[in-house]
Amino acid sequence: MLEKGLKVEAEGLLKLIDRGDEAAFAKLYALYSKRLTAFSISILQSSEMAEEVVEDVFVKLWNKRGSLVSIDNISVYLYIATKNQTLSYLSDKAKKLITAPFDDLNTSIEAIHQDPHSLLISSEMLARVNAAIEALPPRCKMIFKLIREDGLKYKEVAAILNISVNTIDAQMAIAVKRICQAMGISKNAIKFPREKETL
Amino acid sequence: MNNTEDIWGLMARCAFNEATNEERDLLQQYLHENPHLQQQYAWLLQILESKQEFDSQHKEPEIRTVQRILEKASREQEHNVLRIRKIRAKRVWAAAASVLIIIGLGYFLKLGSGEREPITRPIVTNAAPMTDPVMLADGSKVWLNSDSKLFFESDFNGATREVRLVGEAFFDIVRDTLRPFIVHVNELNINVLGTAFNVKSYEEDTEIQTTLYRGLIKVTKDKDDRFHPIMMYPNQKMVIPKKVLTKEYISVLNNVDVISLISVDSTIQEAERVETAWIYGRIDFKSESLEQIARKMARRYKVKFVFEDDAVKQLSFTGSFKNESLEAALRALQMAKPFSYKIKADEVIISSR
Repeated sequence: MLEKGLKVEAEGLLKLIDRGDEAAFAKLYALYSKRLTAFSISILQSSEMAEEVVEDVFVKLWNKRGSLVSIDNISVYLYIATKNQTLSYLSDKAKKLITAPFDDLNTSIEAIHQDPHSLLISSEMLARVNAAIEALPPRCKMIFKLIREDGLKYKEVAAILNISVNTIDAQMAIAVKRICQAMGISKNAIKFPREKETL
Repeated sequence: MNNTEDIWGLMARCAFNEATNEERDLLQQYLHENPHLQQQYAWLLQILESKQEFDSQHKEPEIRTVQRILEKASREQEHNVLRIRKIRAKRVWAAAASVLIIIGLGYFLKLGSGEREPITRPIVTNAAPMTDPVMLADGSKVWLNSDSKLFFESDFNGATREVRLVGEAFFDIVRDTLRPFIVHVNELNINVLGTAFNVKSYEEDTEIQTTLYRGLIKVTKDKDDRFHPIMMYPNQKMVIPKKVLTKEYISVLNNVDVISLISVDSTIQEAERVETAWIYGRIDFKSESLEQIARKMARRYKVKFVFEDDAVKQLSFTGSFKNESLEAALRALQMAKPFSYKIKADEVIISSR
């Protein structure tokens, strides 16, 4: 989950940055640079430019100090700025990517590598889950990653990727379904509670 | 919920804190009835939450990177300031140069009132309004109504983007503060900042109508400092009687009464508005005189209207035509208010009775 604490911290930092506080700026960079770089890489399909893209996002942010208070969700703002900056690097490809949002992309997701024993899950099952995540359709994978790893809310991801919350919901259902299937939860095994008419 | 597929969405929403209280209860119910599902949901939660913590790398911030960003930022700001200065300087020189040229010309020739020569061939429409917009070189779009002409008065790579309009058009202009867009209509100049607006000034029209949908425009008059520039804001419609622009009226130019700024009902969707009905192939009229309506119909149906008396001209109607034939349109008007008409070849003769 994104760290509610992180968000609160980021908002506090933004106010300081707005007044030209360099230390606050460095902190904000530390908080976001990794995840924004990962996001940029998933669009660029290469890690070469991603760091530069993110640096430029922060260059622009710094040069906007004095008018930063109008930003109401710094996470969404930074992700969208990163998306735009990345797409402008890809100038040629950009148009295609905007209209066919990330259908051919490859998002890398950190494999789950916790000690399987602490999870009460077999390492074999864990391997299957990781493979299932890796095999998700590209857009589904990106959405799943932004929600699970970056801790963004459904509506934040919807704003960043410029798609509807319903699409996010549907894609997340696909992701969870594949993961559950990998764990061996069969759909048929689920008994549905007797329908309450009032529901 | 009886769709088995929904369980996955429900689990996702609950796992990621997107679920409503009802949804949480519903999931609890599922889990209660399916003990093995309970076990597996617990696993799912563990798997979903056991992600790489970005913040685990919250070590000493990359001081050097941040330093680099700050340096780049200050270079970029200086660069921007320089660029603005350069542009300003260029503009001053351009202005100075053009003053010189004009003075020079005035000295040798007598400056005539001469129309500027259009650089590109004008775009002309006949009977029907354009269904697709004309794309200008800068990406701006222009929809031309029937019988209208659009002249290009500057090449769009230069310092300004200038066009002259005779007739009616809807403009959707790409914002470029460095190259102002100017629409010349009769003696008026409409100075545009990225914006969308409709201009109507057919030769036979007695007034110029400008309706602003988005953005900001400033209306000035050619070579006339006494004409107080008029700023227009979105959803305003300006009506200037053309006679006001002639020499005799110069003294009353600052009299606001002759120029009216009307608020357009902004709650009406753009597609439904009277001013731009023509873009959608409609003839709309709202409390307009039969004479005014006839002018719109004449263009659409390629006919001439002749009024046998003045009284009938003043009949006022509100309505809308789209695909009606000329006869059907006239009959519809007749239903609202009595008058009679005869159609002879391409002439429609209208009288009180």
